[in-house]
Amino acid sequence: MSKKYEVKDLINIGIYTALHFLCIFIVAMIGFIPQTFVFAGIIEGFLGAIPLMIFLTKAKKPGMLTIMGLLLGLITFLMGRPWPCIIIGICAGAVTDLVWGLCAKYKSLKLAPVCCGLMMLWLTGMGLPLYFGYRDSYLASLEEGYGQEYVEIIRSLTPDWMFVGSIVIGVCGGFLGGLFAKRILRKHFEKANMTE
Amino acid sequence: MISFSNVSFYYKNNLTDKGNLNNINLEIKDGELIVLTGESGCGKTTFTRLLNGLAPNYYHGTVSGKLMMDGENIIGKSVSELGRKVGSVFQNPRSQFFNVDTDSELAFAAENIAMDPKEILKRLDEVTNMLDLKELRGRSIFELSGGEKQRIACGSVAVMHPKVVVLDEPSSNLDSASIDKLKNVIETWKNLGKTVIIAEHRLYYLKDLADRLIVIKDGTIAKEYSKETLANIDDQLKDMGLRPLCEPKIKTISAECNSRDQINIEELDYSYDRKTSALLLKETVLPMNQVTAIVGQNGTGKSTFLKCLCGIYKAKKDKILLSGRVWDRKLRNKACYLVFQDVNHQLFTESVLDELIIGMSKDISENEKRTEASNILERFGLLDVADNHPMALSGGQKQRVAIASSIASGRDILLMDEPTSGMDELNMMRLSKELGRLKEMGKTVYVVTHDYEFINECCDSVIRLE
Amino acid sequence: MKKTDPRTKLFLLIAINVVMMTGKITGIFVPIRIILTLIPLLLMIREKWYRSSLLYFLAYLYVFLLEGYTLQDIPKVPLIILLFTTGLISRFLAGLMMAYYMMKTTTVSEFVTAMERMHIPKVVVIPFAVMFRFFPTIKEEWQDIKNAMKMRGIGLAGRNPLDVLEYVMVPILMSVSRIADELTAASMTKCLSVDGKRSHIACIGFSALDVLLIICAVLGLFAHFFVGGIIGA
Repeated sequence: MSKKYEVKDLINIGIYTALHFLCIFIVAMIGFIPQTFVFAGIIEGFLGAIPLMIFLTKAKKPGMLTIMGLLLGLITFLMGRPWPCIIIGICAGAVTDLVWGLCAKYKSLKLAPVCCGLMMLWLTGMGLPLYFGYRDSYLASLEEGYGQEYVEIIRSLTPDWMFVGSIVIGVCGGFLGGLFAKRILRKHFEKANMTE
Repeated sequence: MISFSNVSFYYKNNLTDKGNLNNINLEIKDGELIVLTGESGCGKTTFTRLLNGLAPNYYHGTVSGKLMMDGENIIGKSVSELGRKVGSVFQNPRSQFFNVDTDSELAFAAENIAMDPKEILKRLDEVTNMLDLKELRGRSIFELSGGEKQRIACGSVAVMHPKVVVLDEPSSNLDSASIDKLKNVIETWKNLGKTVIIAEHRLYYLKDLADRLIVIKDGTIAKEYSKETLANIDDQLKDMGLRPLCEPKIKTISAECNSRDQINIEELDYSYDRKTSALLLKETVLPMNQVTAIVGQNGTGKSTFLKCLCGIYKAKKDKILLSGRVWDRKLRNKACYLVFQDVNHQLFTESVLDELIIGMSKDISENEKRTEASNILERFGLLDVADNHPMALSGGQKQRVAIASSIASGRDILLMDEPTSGMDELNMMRLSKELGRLKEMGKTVYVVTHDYEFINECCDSVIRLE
Repeated sequence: MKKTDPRTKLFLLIAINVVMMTGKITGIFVPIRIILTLIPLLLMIREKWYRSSLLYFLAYLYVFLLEGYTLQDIPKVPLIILLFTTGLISRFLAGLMMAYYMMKTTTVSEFVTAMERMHIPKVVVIPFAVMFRFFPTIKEEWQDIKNAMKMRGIGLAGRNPLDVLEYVMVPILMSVSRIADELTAASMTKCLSVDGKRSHIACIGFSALDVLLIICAVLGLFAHFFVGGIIGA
């Protein structure tokens, strides 16, 4: 198969990125409540993985997932996160691209849930202000607006090791969602003769 | 000139023979207007796809034979290359726009071939005048009706000055007023000397325009009628299960209502944007225990009315009585079942049989549900696809599944929005018979439709919304 | 009235989000926040969206009057509600309105033109434009599917959440994938290609208003990063 992109590929990237992002955005709204902060990651991953799975069956050329990662990074940036989130997005896409291309040969559904999980790495860009150099001043600014208590909850939920933790949570969510989406794919899309 | 010599096309990954073309031989002269018709799945759409290059470039498959256009074999040419010469209008007005505003969409194709912006603007004005698109310029596509979208689609094609225009069932989602406008557009093209090829199952609006009518059956040309022989072929078409050429007139139907029950709409006022009323009804009586057709031009709020009646939409003012007692939104939601115009959203289980069973009353045993569902499917000619996934079916079949599940739901009042838009003669008759049966069971059916043939066949009264 | 350039809108969106979402709210940031809050308001009034403008204005009036005051003597529950709503509005509303304004007032073709002027390659521009165009379409589809579920009496209650998720997601995915197919076919016949050169009829460019808005945004960002802001600290 030709490696050159066709119109179809570009339109698919756009459409599935939109759907994937919306799924996550809806859950992220709930994630604003501090107590659900941590669990939101797993639900975000779970829901977001469903359109991702369908997209994987259409991503047959190298780089499609990287472009998706770039787009997600760009939206994150537009939402006011620090610029490294774009790099994180590209990297998340590229890693997924590698696994999906080299190990799964763009078709092995066995690895698809893993790919769904890996793609969720872009979400770390969303939580970026909470860690590294951004952390203290971000929390300090929250304190002015939200009060001590809110910030304490956030602070206790987000020690530095939680950066890794939140990544793991998102990836797990993506993996589980991928498993569920695989079932949907089998049950509906393959039966309806809608896969390629 | 376009000539097909021994052209065959077989879709890749196609389990059935549906849509394939076998050994087509045909010559189309410049400036001719050809209508292709036939049952769904006969291959008429494939015909248009070969002409615009979507088959085999996008819809993959094996192709053989020669398809010459102006002395060149166009098989194997890229879609975008052909797009300069061949304009395409598709069935679904909702999914053929790349842009969200009409002006950009009109200019889109011309921009893609890097035409000079001044020239594009000139052509936009020219097309606006020619196709009467003035009131549609500078609008968002999300606020246009299906018919308006289809006119913009025609306009965006016209900007390219194509030699050939192919249209794939352009009227399926349109009402009669919009179809008239579409007809004007096609007539303009014909007068400009363009070659026009239309795949359609609804034929009446093309009667005066067609130079030739070609009936396709199982991928081959079954019959060809020249302009002169078109006058009296309705019986033959009917025998082949196809829609007639003559525009049916509504028979006069006695408006008197002989049932005891009735629905009184004292007031119903609905608006999408809080400003303009999309629907305003006062003092209207709807008969019950019979089949009632609701007709009216696009934009009179017929679909909105059904959605308000069954309680999906929340009307601003909502006062409806059922046999004299207040009948509020919650009660209506339980009693009514609406079959949407676009049934794709209404089907979500993994098999046709499940689709019927999921909506059935909980009081019946699993076995009884199965038997009942199978019976209904048999009456709609769907039994052989009972285990298939609903989304794998053709448009007309999906429509029948959605209607069948509305009947399976056992609700007393059934509402249907354009149920016959994708149906050929045979299935339309099946539906008419089924509605007759429902009436005997004492159920009430309201159908929004522009299908006059269907109205004549099974409706007891007609209500016109203004 | 000359339209605001899409690039200006993008820049404003970033600046507003950065400052409003992650910035401080005291000292020099009070006037900066007010200025940045006023930008979407002005743009909306310019579009004659009076109703939205008024609601937006009232929401921020509430925020600027009450945010940041630690009201010791009021009971805990109203305090939490107060903190929560002011925090939510102050952080997100300006950015959301700016994004909404951008989506509503920028046509796909203006957007594409702007991106190509910034020398972004077509393999990124086309997906981005499609994505942009697709949010309202998904909303439309979702509305229809929600109605259909209501019709069939399939609600959230009393069912396995995974089943509900399946009933919701399957029709969405199916219709999205159908639209993707049809949109591709239609775009291809309209000569859209990955490598061809395009021309543009959209006129975009910076006006005096654009320059003014950009200066405001740059000032906001400058203060954010260097005057006791994120990096300076």
